[in-house]
Amino acid sequence: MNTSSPYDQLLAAKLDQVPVPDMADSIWSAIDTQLDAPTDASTDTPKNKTARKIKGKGWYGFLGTITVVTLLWWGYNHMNHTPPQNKPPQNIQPATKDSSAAADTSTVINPVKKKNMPVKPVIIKKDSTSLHDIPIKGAVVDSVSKQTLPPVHIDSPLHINNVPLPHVDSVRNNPPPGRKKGKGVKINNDDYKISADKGG
Amino acid sequence: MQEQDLNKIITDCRSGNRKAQEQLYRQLYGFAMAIAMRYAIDEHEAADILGHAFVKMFRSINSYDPSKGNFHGWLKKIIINESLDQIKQRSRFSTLEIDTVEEPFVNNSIIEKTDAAAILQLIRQLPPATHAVFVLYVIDGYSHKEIAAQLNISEGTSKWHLSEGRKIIQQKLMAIKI
Repeated sequence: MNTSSPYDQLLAAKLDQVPVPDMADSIWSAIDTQLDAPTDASTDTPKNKTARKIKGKGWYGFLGTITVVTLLWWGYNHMNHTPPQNKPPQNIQPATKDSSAAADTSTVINPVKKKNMPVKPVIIKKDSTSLHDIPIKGAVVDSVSKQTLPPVHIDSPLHINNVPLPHVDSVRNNPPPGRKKGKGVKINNDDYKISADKGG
Repeated sequence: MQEQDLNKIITDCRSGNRKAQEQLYRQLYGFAMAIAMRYAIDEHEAADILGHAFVKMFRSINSYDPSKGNFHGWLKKIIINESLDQIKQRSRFSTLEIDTVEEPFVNNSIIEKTDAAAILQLIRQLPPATHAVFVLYVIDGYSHKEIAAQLNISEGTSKWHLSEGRKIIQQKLMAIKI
């Protein structure tokens, strides 16, 4: 408390004389309304608020997940459809070409030239694994006969005449046409000879 | 109103009895409105202050401890705090570094002759910060230390506002008489 001067006391006394406006009823109705508000607000417990928060966050998470999945799906489809259907089939290395990998010495395969895309020659070492190195079940692999197999040249008549080569799946390593399928068929040395004759 | 009656109403208010709350409000309306009127710039703002103050009072009536002071003092503090919140909303309290404050001479006879409503109007015309400090010190008896803590300003600033308020009121009172 301060030590009030006579001036202060006089002013305070004067202000006490100020009549109070008759607004009691209107102010009470406002108070009454505001006092009712807590009952509605009381239902808004912190637990509910947290639940609502989590719900809101969950919604954002759901939207985010949908967006990511959509983008991944689009990207996957886009990448799958990008392999050009119009590309000439000669760009695809025929499976027969891999047969040269069985040679003892390192062989340089000249790749098929692409438009505006220089490709370095692929050097396949003799110790590189190819599907031909995997012995076929039941077949007797003769190393001598393997060495006598001449490499298949890329400049085959079909290739020169721009005749589209059949799409060869290198993974499956389908045998060249006219050759018997290895699976379940016994292959002997004569089969290799026939294959070499056709390839040559 | 007798102290026992007031305590009975307060007890009923603690249990949320709306009738008791209204009764308490009507009993204290004149006392509370007189306080709010000093800090407000007009009757409507005083009504707003009073409404908010009573709502706060009813909501926190369970925290009222009679052993710490009487109910009127507790309510007065709530009303003043609410009034200062209102003033802070419309004005920024800046700290001024003042060492010495000049005390203006005020002719008491002029105040005595002036109408109470006119004096209240003069006080309301003061700048918001000066108005708050002036009423807190002159009317409600706060010390500069208490005012400084309440308004988050220095004691020097509080003294400056008081001096400034006195000076302005003196000038206006002189102008009225002339």
